[in-house]
Amino acid sequence: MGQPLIEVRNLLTSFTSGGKRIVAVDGASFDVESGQTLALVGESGCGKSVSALSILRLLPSPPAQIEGGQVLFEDQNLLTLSEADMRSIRGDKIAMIFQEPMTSLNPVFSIGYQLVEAIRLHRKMSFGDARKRAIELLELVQIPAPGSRIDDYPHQLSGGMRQRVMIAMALSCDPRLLIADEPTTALDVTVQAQILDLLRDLQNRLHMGILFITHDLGIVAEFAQKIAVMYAGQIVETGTVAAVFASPRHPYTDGLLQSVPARVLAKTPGNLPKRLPTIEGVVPSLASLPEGCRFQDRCQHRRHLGDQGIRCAVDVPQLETVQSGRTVRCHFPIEAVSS
Amino acid sequence: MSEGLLSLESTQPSQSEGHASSVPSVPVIEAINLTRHFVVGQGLFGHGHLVHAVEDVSIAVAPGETLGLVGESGCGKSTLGRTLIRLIEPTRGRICVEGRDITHLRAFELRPLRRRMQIIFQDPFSSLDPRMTIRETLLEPIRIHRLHGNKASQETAVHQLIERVGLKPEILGRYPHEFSGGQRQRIGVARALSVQPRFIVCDEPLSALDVSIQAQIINLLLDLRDTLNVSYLFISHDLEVVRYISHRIAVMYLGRIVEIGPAESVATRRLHPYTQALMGAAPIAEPGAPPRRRVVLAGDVPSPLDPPSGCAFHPRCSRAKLGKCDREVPTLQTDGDSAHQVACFYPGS
Repeated sequence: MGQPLIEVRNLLTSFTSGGKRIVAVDGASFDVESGQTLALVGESGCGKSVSALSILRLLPSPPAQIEGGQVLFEDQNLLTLSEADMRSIRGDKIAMIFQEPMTSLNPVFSIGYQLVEAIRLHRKMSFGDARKRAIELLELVQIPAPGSRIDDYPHQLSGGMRQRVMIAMALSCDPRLLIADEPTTALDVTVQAQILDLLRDLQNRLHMGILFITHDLGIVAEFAQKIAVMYAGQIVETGTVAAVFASPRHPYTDGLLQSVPARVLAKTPGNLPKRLPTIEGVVPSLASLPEGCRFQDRCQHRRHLGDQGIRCAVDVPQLETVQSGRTVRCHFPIEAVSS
Repeated sequence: MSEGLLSLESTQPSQSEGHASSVPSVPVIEAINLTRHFVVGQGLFGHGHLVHAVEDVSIAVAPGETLGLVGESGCGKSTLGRTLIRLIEPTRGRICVEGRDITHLRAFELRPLRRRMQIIFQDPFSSLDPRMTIRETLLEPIRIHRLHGNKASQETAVHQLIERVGLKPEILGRYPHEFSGGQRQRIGVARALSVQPRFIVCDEPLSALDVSIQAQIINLLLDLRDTLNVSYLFISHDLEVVRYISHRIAVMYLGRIVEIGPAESVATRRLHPYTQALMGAAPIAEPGAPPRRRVVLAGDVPSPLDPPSGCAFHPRCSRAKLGKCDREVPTLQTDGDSAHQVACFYPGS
């Protein structure tokens, strides 16, 4: 285990909405190591994107406010840096790619112009050199005929090509950390496979750490080494992907994994259960969270606890280490399956 | 070719045996050589281009059967779904509903048949009228089709509908913005059910929903199929979901069906090279799973404005032989067991 590239400690981010304070990320802690991928997993509104945007301090304030915690990157706390220092880190040492390659490129400039702009912002380079570098980058992300494609405008490219351009732009200054916020959600599966292959290949070559935000457990299984599961603003389970998938300890993780049709199909080929296992109910609103555990109303396991289950409605569970490299936020974690 | 598609004995849905009879049933809906072209870029100058969105598609859906339709975006699957129920007019070909040709029916003749076929849309945020309460949304189709005589029986019907999709009647007075995506999709399902359809086009009904909510909606659709014996055309890009819910699967590429057959047969045998690439591309939620049979396709789907000659897949196909695949268009051929068909000159795994 090397020194983590970035350490997020007790991150607390809130929004003010209609005079009310809503905590979107409640004490999230996670690390990303060089050359490794951490998958941050959860349903919409669970705080995974807000966590990522907090790291780069890209949230508009107001309404957003980072109230506490630390983001340690190369011996600095990013949350206390001046805006000017922060700007020199964004797009340079830490880069981000977004879900929507259609909206994250400027439609009125050629992709070459936008790449050159990103390079020259962080590197003292002549226009000609920056353009050469831009062509190299397009080649790196396997865009055919980069020398002529560089003068194309975003609308001339397909969705997959645009996401490649976004990746090229993110890589323009050799980032140490890449934050990828659902980069393949808007793409077809065949194109998604190409983009994931590309990211994996680039990670091996450039040894970047990747924080990969997704709700697709298939991508997690194939792409990440570690996983952090978020629910209603909190991290509820962390561990290596292999260990968490083999033996989830939090009832929410367990429910998520069980409701994936592919896993159901793999376990019972030819003899499908008539119904998929589901997690009943809906995610509670961040504006009106229950006392105690946030998952209590939907928890299958609590129903078997009898009187003991009262604890879930009263005590707030903390994220605790249950075995080496595994943390779980549950008073009654599921028994570990020995493999 | 269409005779092969009409023989539904071997594709009788397994989960509705109570309804299946030994007599081959008349398909709820059938498309025969259905084609839809769009003209784009037609301006003051120039004649525009022809987009071949749906090209010579013949499919039939039996009562209680679910036909899954998969393919990449832009392959024409939504256009096919909408053309089937004449939300989009076909350019050529015929559509039959329960044996009756509806291709050329006029709007007022078609209206009573609209009851038989409904659609559930992808985005539950834009498919409900934000200014109508849930009660009004559900009552509108009931009134148009004059289904329940007086107000009291209409109200009872609406109550039953909302409970059938797992919501409480208390919510009937509320507006769409008060609901989550999953709840809105349930309301969309209730609206489709309000006119007691025989056939529902489900156009990517899950893609806007979270994983744990998706499973709930899948189960709801399965429950409705079992209790009401309704048929679905289930359009999705999520192959595992399609495999789970469908009796048969059709794979579409650039407007044409390239493979069709019983769900497990298509999912496991994958006779068409495109099916192999599509199914092999989906990541599997099992770390350390044995390596998939992956065929990473180069490039994107070619533009339907200018589809490649011969087999439309040949420029991306590793098996393509020049002189054959770039010249002739393969048609669906039956392979072995009569229900599995593939349109490829060199099929096989």
